[in-house]
Amino acid sequence: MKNIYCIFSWNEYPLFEEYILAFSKNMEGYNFIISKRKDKVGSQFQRYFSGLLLFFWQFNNTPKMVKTDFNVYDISSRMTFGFFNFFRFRKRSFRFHEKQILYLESTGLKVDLIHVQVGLYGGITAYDIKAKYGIPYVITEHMGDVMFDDMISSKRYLNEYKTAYKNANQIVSVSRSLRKRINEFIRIETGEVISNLKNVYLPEKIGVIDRKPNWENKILIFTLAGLINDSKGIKELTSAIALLPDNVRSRVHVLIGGEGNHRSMFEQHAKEMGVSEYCTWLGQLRRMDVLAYHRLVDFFVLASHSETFGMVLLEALFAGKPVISTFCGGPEDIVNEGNGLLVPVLDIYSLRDAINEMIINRDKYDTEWIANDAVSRFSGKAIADKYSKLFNKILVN
Amino acid sequence: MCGFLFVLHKKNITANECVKSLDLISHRGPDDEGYLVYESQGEDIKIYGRDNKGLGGKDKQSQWNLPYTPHESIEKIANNVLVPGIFMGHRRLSIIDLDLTGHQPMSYLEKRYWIVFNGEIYNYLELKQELMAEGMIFQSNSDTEVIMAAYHKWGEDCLKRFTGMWSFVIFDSQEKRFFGCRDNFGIKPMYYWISEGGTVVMGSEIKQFTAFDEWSAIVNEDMALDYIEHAFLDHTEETLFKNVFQIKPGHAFSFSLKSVPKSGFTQKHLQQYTYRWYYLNRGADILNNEKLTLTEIYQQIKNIFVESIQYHKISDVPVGSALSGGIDSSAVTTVLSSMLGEGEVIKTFTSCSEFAAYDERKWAEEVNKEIKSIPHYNYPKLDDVIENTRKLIWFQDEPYQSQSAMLGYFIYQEANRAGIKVLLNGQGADEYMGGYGQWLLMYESRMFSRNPLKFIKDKLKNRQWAYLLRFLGSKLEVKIFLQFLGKKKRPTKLRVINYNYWNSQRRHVIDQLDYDLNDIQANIEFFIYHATLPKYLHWEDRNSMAHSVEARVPFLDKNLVEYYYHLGSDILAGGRSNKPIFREAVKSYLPWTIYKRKDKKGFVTPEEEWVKHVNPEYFRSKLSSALIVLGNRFDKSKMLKLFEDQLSGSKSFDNLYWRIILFVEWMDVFQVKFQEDRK
Repeated sequence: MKNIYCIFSWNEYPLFEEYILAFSKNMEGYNFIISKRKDKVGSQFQRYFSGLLLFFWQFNNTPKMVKTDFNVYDISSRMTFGFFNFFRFRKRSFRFHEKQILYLESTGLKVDLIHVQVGLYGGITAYDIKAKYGIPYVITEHMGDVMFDDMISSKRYLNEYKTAYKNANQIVSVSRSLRKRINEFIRIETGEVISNLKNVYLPEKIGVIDRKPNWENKILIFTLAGLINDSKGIKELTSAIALLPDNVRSRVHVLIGGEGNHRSMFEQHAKEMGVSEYCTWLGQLRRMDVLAYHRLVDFFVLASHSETFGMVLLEALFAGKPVISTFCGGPEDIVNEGNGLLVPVLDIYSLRDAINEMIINRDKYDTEWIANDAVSRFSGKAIADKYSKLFNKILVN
Repeated sequence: MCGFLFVLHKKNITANECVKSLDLISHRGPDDEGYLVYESQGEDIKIYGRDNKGLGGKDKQSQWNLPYTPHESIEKIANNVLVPGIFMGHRRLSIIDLDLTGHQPMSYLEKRYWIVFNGEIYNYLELKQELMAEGMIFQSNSDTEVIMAAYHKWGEDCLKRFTGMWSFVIFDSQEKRFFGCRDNFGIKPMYYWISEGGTVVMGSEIKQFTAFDEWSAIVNEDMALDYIEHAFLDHTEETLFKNVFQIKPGHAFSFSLKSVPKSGFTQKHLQQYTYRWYYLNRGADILNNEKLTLTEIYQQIKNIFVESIQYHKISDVPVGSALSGGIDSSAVTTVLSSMLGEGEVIKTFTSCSEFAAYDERKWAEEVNKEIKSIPHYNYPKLDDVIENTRKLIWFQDEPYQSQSAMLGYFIYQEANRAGIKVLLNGQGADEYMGGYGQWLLMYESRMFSRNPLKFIKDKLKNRQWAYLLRFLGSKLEVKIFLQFLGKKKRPTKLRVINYNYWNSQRRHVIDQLDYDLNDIQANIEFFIYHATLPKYLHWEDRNSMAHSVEARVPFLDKNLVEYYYHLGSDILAGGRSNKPIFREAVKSYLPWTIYKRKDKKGFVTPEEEWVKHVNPEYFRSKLSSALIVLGNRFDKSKMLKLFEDQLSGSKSFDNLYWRIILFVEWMDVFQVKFQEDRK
């Protein structure tokens, strides 16, 4: 059995847990050891006291491991530090994980490979471990532009970050556009693009959403933003709705999920465009309700200016619904002729035409085909197969 | 070498604008011209020539009739307003495949693909063999056709197989897709301008955009300061013209007609569709992780270099060599000469100077003595420089940083007069071979600061006592070099610029570019893509094209560059002489005096002599007039005082004065205004 040590750079990231779940179910011959920061401490506390906490825990932390599945172990701990001041605690992070790895070796789970969720911070710690112990590491990167441009202002830290990338045995980008971005960042051509995944066998709770009276007999369009801001294209969507011919617009209704400081501004914009009556602002949604809306609506629209991947599209596709997205990075790897349409960013006329076309031709989209296509490309098994080949190749070499 | 135009328009433009745009670069392609019009609604493609040029069925063209043979003259539709679609145009300088089957725009595969291309694919014959073995059919002997076939076969990955220099745009009329790119190092140019109406215009030279009615020339003040203050241009995708950009070296773009916004193309969209296709780390296996001896390394470098010359001499027209007498151009010339056939001689072209301190003629003579050559020695004078300044600015599209650019202009002029259509030169070597001694110094500084005692001990052990003394004494040089790069402030210069009057937030261009210059590989990349090579390639392209001569750069063979890139800093920084590894590798080709030559002049003019002694009044007067034009942007009295101090020798001489003069001349030549002057 080969042992993969999984570093979670963020303390909360359900998607990476889904990765581990998918890997554990589909990859034979591997054990997966999860190491993440368990504490949900407030960020203020982290920042002010992280140095003290780390200092304390590096001496007093005794790894505790729990077996959660037949080939999955959890060695997560309370070790924590402010995400934004990682570089000051780089050595402590290394010592912390070193301790865990040595502990694992003592229990018979010698680490063969490190799989890191995003480069910062895990990639840097993995690099330090490789430098000392020669353990290869793979970074799965799905952070977008914000990572590279804004968060690291010090040149020295930027170079440390780039060094960690350059020395990875492989960097897996979740989209071609992200790979392009990473390559330009480190000025080296990297290899793999493997999409994010969605596990189909998780027994997810799906809510029940009834059609509201003003939705009756309407073609329902759903859009969703984790955080409503300028870059999510909400303004372009409402503008595009306003541009639809009257007889078409009267037949549609747009459901806008998500919350954010800009919401009221966009509501005002919709009002000025004269399309308020065609929109319902759903606010922050629970996961089960998101899934329910995907099943309720006719199609999904993502009008973002930039998306590293576009996970929301997957959820629509898994529900068998066609999508409209912008050419904004990740979606180009997801949308195809059978499941949707792509339009240029910031182009309300093309968006209008795409919505119009989908309204007219929505019957040509086969729900079953869309869902099957999405499963074949993005299911846990499909993605795990790719990672399996990748890990095998690295471990053989 | 040629020139092209590609227009993607939604609003109406006239054929006349497009033809005029190409006429402006007729010097790039005097041998042939062609045009294509595509209407996106009707999906109709029409091709045109010009009266008695490139038209099938007329005079000497009558023997050819291919799918891309035009039969109508563009003059027929010159005044027509073109409906939304695309326009492709080309001016050809015939170097390989001289007959008209090399006409462009060229098509392939039953008119599915159309291309406009500038450059050479040196390994096109090998690629053609490989493609023919896969069943692909060719109608011409040109490399242009091979590009389209390779694209059809391998898609965008075809770029990785090309050896050469190029910029091109391919239109796939079946998929309604556009693909364009520049070569690995940006030897061939490609600019684009997006009008306010959303029309995308791409071309080989910036001046082409001036032919369009929507054009307006506004100063890009960020770049203006980079140029005036730091002598940088071509270090980013921006140009001195606001809203004019270049596709960066080693970059490509790809998009479909569907992804063109109905609301109008913007630079943001094109940036989104553009990606970097070439990285220097490709070829990491060259050294196969083996421990090679130095002798083996020399042999490998020699082999790669000789192969590069072999490729670069491929031509159906006469080939010559630019020879300065430095190691780079000497190696090119001597290796090229060794490949000559019986009775063949090589024409060499050398820029000389009446001032002994700047003259390299004796070194060039050493080389010419050893080979069969017909040498040409050119002596540019100050009067020649003055007479040709505005003309050179026009050819260059932007002001140049020093009068060295003028030397190249005269060399190509001489080559053209001598009947040479292709000239090889030694450009590009210094960037990755450590030709600028300062990067070795930076590396040594780093080693020193890591472990000073070990550093000193190693030098003593190797009996490098004199070097060690010089190094310790010259640590200061590193600071000077960093100043040269613009990293450190130069108080005198800053005081002459009134930044408040400039519409720019940018001050230190090097900080923006984010390179760790202490890392040799980052350093190589920095020089190749930002610091020096882009401007030199710009000069070479424009100077050579001004005289319809093709400039070729054998040192920018990707195999050679990648080999060096992966050698590692221990090997690269291993000697005190200039380019020690390359020197040893080509030792057998070089005259002994050149091999042993230690000094490096660079391609410099006796500028200081001209300004201080020959005609200071001319420069004083020009500077004064230029400062009046620039108004409050400069502190005129301080700048004039600085100039006088430089003339008298109380301040060190540089060419800030010249950049100011050229900047204002450029504004006049191209009628460029500052943003607020337009209001």
